[in-house]
Amino acid sequence: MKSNIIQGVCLVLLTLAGVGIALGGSGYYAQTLFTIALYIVLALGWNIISGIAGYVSFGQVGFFGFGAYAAALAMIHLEVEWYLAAPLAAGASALLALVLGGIMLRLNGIFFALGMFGLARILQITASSLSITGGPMGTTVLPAESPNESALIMVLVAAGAILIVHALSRSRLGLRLMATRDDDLAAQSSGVNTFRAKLRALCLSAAFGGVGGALYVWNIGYLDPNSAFNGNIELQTVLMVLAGGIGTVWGPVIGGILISLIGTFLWARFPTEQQVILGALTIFIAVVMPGGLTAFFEKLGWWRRQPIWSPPPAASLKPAPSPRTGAAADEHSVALSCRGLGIRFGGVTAVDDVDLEARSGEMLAIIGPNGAGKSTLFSLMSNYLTGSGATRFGERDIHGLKPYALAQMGLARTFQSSRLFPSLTVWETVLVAASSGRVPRQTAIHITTELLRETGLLDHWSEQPDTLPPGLQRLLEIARALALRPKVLLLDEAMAGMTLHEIEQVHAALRRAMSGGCAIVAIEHVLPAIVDLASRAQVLDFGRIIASGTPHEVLRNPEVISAYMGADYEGGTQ
Amino acid sequence: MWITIINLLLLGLLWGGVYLLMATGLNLIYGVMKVVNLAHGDMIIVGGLLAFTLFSAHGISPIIAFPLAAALLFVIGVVVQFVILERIPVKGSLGELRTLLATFGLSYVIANTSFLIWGSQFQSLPFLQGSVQLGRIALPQALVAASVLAFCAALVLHLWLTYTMLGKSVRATAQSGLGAACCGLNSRLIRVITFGVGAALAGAAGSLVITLIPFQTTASGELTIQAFTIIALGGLGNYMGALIAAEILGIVEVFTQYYLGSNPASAAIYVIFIAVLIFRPQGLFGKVGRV
Amino acid sequence: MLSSYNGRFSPRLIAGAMLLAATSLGSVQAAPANIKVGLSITQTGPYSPPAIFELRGYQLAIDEINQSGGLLGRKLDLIKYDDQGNPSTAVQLYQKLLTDDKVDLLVSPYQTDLTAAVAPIVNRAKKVMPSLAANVENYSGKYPYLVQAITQTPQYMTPALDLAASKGYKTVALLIQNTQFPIQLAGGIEDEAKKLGMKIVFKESYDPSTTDFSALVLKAGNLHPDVIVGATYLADAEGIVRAAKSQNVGAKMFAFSIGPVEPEFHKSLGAAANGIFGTTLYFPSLKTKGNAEFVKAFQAKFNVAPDYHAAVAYASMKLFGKAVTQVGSLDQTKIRDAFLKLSEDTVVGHFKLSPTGLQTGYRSYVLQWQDGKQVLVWPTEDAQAAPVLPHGGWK
Repeated sequence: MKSNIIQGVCLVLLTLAGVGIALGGSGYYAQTLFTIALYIVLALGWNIISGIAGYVSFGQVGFFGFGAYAAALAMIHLEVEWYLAAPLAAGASALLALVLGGIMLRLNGIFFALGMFGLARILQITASSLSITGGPMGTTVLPAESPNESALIMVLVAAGAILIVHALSRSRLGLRLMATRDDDLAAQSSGVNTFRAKLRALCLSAAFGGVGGALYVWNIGYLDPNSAFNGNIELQTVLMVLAGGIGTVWGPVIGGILISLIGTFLWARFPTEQQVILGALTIFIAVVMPGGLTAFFEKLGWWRRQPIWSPPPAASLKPAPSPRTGAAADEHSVALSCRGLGIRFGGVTAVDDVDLEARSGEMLAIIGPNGAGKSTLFSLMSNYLTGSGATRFGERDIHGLKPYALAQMGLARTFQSSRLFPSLTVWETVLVAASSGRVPRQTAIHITTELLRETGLLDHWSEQPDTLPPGLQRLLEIARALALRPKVLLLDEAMAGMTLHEIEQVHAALRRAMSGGCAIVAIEHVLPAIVDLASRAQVLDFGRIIASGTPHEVLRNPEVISAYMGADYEGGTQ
Repeated sequence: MWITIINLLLLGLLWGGVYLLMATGLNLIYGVMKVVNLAHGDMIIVGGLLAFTLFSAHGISPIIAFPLAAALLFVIGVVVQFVILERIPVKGSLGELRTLLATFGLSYVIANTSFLIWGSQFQSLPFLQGSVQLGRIALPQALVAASVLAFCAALVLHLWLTYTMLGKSVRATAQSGLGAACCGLNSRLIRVITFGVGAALAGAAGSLVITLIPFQTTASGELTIQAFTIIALGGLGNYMGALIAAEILGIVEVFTQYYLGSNPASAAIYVIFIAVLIFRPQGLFGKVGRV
Repeated sequence: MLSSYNGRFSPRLIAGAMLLAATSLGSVQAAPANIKVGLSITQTGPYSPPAIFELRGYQLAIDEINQSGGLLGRKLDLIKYDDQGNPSTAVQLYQKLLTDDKVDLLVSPYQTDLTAAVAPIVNRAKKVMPSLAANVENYSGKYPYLVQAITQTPQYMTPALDLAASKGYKTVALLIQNTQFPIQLAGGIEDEAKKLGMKIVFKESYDPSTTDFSALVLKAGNLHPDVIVGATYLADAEGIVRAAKSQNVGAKMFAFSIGPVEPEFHKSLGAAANGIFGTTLYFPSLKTKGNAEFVKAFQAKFNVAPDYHAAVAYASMKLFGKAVTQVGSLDQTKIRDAFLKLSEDTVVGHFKLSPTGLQTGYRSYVLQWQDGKQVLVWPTEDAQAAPVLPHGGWK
């Protein structure tokens, strides 16, 4: 709360200062203010896709130029005023992002960044070739009466942009974007439709660029392909966000003001060396302080990101809600059944014709020597890999469903090596899963609180995973999976590295889940950990089931012993 | 008509060789370090302008400037890697972003420094401007020479990578940095050398290409994009793929310019780029990239 | 004013005397403030070389005006900023010049698109600006305060076509860079060709980023035109000549708008530059009024011969001074009117404006590279040597 108040006050003060300059300053100051405010909007927009969503793009200037042309064309051909042209441009840019996003968001890393750059370039060439855009001659519109007028509007738009980004960083979408940025796969397994989240981020980012372009055209009154798609705009935007702190709300604002002032100073004193200095600054920031000023403040303890929907409520008396897909399933009904699952990688058959069933309220243990294909089997079962055979979740054949959809339906899994979200707190990690789909906010908060309490993690709610010992990290991953209120839970060596105490806590949580109707399939090496919980076990060796039965039966099976120990082993089982 | 088609085909093939040389340095660096050197285009231009200065001030032929430019850029590359890029830990996506941004900034530093040294006028040099007659077809001498040299350089690189110890170490590090280190290879040294060689190849390419097209200190972005398109099309880190991709680009550009006009030809590279990204992000010959 | 005077020192008298003393003291103490002349120029960025020549032209003119006593008894100060070739930067800078530095006189930036970008605010501020943007849109009545101090674009290559027609050449291949200036220039070429009865057999435009012209030149060459004309800048003019030479594509005449006028043209092409025609708006050998002195002074001050950018800038500043002196004040509207009435000979030629400020007096000339030197060859009355035609072929 306090942080919100401070931020609100800062925003109001900044806006008032901006408005004051816009209304009272000379034409030059107003124009400079306009440029600063414009860059703040562009930087905030770039930050959404590149910082919060983690998808670095070098094409923000494409949306800027597209918005500028859209607004210019609207003002000329549709004869609308700027206050209609600007939202039109924002909408048009968002629409463009929607269309392009479907293609571009399938890529990531450098492909996405350069792909967006290529798109911006194509837009530039298009604008230069079409006669409706005036071709290389460009086009003119009726500009604002004075730079003061446009500066005033730009300041207000910038303030609005800050509010929007602030709301985003506190919202469910923001949470999902950060989770996606940290680990796309883990986010999907927690029920996040990562593609849709990224698409929304791209559209929002494009809208910011578009409105910036529209107001730019209104301010200057003249537009040509060169100035609309100028690479310098991209450089400045990137540098501003980097300097301020990528992925934060105020980073782009601080960076925007700072770099604009530095830029203006450099203009005056070192016009020919300006780009060397800015380039060197970029390198310096990338190497030495990639988190920008915000990270610096964080290190000093002056600032900390507030976790989303936090802090957890103090006490709660209501019982935890039941599994998400309705009333508890009948005891021991089949929750998940697999027939003939198999997959080959080149010449190696990793999983060979496996049948298994998971029943509600029970645990099925999958054991077998290393390399037997257990994790691969899990990936097949949860649609992370596609092979042969069929899997039914309840009555439904889940062939072709994406992992996030399965997670939302109630099929949860953990991973063999921890896949946690490095930049999210413990609270938020579990919250991602608890709030997946359309779960109402209060319910999600309630689920998260209860789960953290059950697993003893509540005291660590505001810490980040890398500060937790490995056992607690695994515990967190299980808690996250349980937050989906799953009907089926796939645990992949979840208890590796845990202390006895931690194993007991996990047991308690798992028993609670099973008594609520959850079916659990557990891959485990630490046999004592599951022998008491599992009612049945199946043994996998070289991709095939070689034994089924109760855990005790299976462990005495000579084939199983020889699979683990080698054919000549003579000792008994433990 | 057939003469024209053969003429265009030959032009495209020759240009492909030149494009290949312009892209190889980027490919090498990416293959070993998974870093896209966004300053690649600027390094090409520096190599070219160096050759220009040697020619116009001292009358030194570009053939001699070729290894000199390579040597200078090698030194620059080594310094960049050692001083800047080695300091960035390359773990995870943040590491990638940081190196990307560092080379992004580097591009501006090099471009502006070049501007301070050479100004912003277009520069080129008159060398081998005549034509090679093949029957009714006249091919630019400079292009033939540059293409031949480019193929030689590619061959030398291939031999170096395949048969020398250092070259094999580079390939090993590219395939598995951890594994190479476990074999006792000095990964840091290899990375530094690799970046140096990559930069050297860019500089050498520049010294050749400036006899064909004029260079200007501010126009490096196009060169980097073109190089990246070629290596992405061929499969990142794949040398044979890059060769085929370079040839495809050369031929497509020449034919497009002739039959469709020059504006579509300029867009052609970006269209190919996007098409590659959409339909086959791993390139023609690469393994599936991270998605 | 003293309301009553009764022989004693009334307070009003004292106050009035002090006021009088103060004002006269003030006007004696403060020397007349210098007249501020402001502009933004492309000091860095891809188009800086010609822009810097323009700046030098202004600087020389201002020095000369100051040396002969200044304007209206005041010296001139030049306030300049670097716009980096960026339109929105130029707009910001002109805002600064207008509202912050409060300059008295404005001159224009170098690039056409920058002038178009700053035209609205300059016009709104009602400040007259002699502009060095060659394209015609700015001077068709939309911005009454802009006057054109350079040859208008469509006329750039008309003399070259006249020369071609005088030799009986009939067919023309036209290559156009797809940017503002070359497109308008090409329009002028087409009009002139029609007037002279010449036929454009090939016309294609190309993106400014094109670096290799092999296919384009091949295509044009296959039609065997008499004349190959390029509406170009430097890099593409070079590229076209390269492509022609290296593929043995010949024509009777090669002519380019911008390109051959730059010394780098020969540096980059060597002997291939010989025989190529180019356009210029000015030449140091011209026998225009004051030119010999101008060339000498420029060479002495900057150690390099002036090019046409320097010359038009110099001339425009000198004419500015003349207009101000004629008007006798810094009244911008009156100065603008004075410009419109001017009919003056300058180092560039005869300056005369249309009623909307379009330049109708200045012309252009044709130069040719002969033996490694630029030589003015057309029109004959200004020529230093005869044009060498037809083109000797690529050896």
